[in-house]
Amino acid sequence: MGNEAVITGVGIHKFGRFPDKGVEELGKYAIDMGLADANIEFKDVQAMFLSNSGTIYPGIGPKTAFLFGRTTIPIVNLEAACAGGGACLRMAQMAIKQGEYDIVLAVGVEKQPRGFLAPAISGYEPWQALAGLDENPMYWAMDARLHMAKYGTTIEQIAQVSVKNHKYGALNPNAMYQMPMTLEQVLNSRVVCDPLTLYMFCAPNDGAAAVVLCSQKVAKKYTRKPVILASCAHRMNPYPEMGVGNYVGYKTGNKAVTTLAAMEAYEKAGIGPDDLSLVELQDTDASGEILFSEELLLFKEGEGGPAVSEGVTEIGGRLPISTDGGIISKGEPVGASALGQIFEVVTQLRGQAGQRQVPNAKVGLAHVRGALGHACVTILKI
Amino acid sequence: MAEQVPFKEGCLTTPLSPLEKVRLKGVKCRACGSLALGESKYCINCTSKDVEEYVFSKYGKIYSYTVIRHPPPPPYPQESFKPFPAAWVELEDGLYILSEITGCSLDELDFGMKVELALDKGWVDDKGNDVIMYKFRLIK
Repeated sequence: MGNEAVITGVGIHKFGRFPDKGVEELGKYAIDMGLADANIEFKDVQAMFLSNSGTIYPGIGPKTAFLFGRTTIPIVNLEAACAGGGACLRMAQMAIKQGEYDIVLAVGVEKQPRGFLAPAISGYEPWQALAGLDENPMYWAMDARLHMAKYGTTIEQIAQVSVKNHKYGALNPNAMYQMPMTLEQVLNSRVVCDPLTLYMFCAPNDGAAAVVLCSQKVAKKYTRKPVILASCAHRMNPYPEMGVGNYVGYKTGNKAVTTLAAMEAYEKAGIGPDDLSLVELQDTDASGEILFSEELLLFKEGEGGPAVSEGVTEIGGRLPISTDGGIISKGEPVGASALGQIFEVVTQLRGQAGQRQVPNAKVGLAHVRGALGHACVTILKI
Repeated sequence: MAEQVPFKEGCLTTPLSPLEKVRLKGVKCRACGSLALGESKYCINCTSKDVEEYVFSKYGKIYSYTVIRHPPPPPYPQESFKPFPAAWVELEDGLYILSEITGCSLDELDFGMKVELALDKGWVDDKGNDVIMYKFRLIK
């Protein structure tokens, strides 16, 4: 088991808007913090994977690494839409499990302008953009409406997710929006795509996060309390992908990609939904948190809404979700958001989350879901 | 005179005139039965090569719906934007297709409402051709 990957350090650059900082600078900040946390120097890193939305420039991984001086280690850029950081973590994990490396960096960096993502990022073809059928929230709005009709999920339950995530965002110094919000404020904000309103959505922004992975045998030299990377799964959605970027589908009976990735992650880790202390998931919009909580098999179909209104997903509830405020509060720096989740889960499992601390946190799950069908599920434990 | 071109190659029957006779087309997989829009040599669901061309019904119903109330990002023309209804339409054949819905007010749509294919000039491409785009119209 010497080749099992563990996490010995995590770093983050606050998510937000930093027009005066280069994207490489954001990355370096997160890497410096992660390496200091791991008690490791950059010269000891043997490989580096860097996740980005792929929209900035191709050499972003090496350019970020070269801020530490020229290096000869392999550096690979990765793109997997909003799941990029998860895919990056999985590559780093595999590099260690395969036995060739003992210290590997997984980094996510991003800079995105205000407003909707540019159509190409989400995989839209030019004709979709010209037809106006390229507004990401419309898919989530239609999914939400179906869920409401089928299970009786209410718009108040959806808004409550946003209230909860803003409450925790207010306690997270790394969040872009550190302000509580009332149910009325969320419900009465501008409608973007019926029935979803502005304050139910995340906003694309800038940020970076870094994770230092070590083989278990080498980790002992640096820390007595590593966080174990129990499993990391990355899958693509089968047909139909009736989500962002797409325009066609057919009822095939296939499972959703989040469920496929979750089942793989649960099986590899030997851990089930009942064992989890906390969950970070893709709260691109508030209704998504409810839908994904079911697709992750945390709750039965249709029980995700009541779980929110009954406080199950609050800190102090049975299964707290998005304890760092989620991307509804943090904003979503596409290539970095997944590793931002890992930062939170590691912080929680170490008992260092302060006012946001989940009591007795032992096992955490992080989930990201991106355009074109990417999904990653990671399970961490101590 | 401007030519008429489809919004995407392989998704509409030809010729493109008269427009009333044009239908959405795609493939049906003989192995798993899945339908998909557009020409393909493979089934998008099971990767079988045993696929046949399939012309879709012009009729369908609303599977889920919303209203786009904020201008979609550029290159969508920002200045001429007006909120419009959009829906996943479930065609009689079982294909789901995302579409703007016409012939109704913003708050009129509901699950199961019947709609029909409405092809029309959508925009002009960079060669000056009229691009034929699909929408679905509410049947009243």
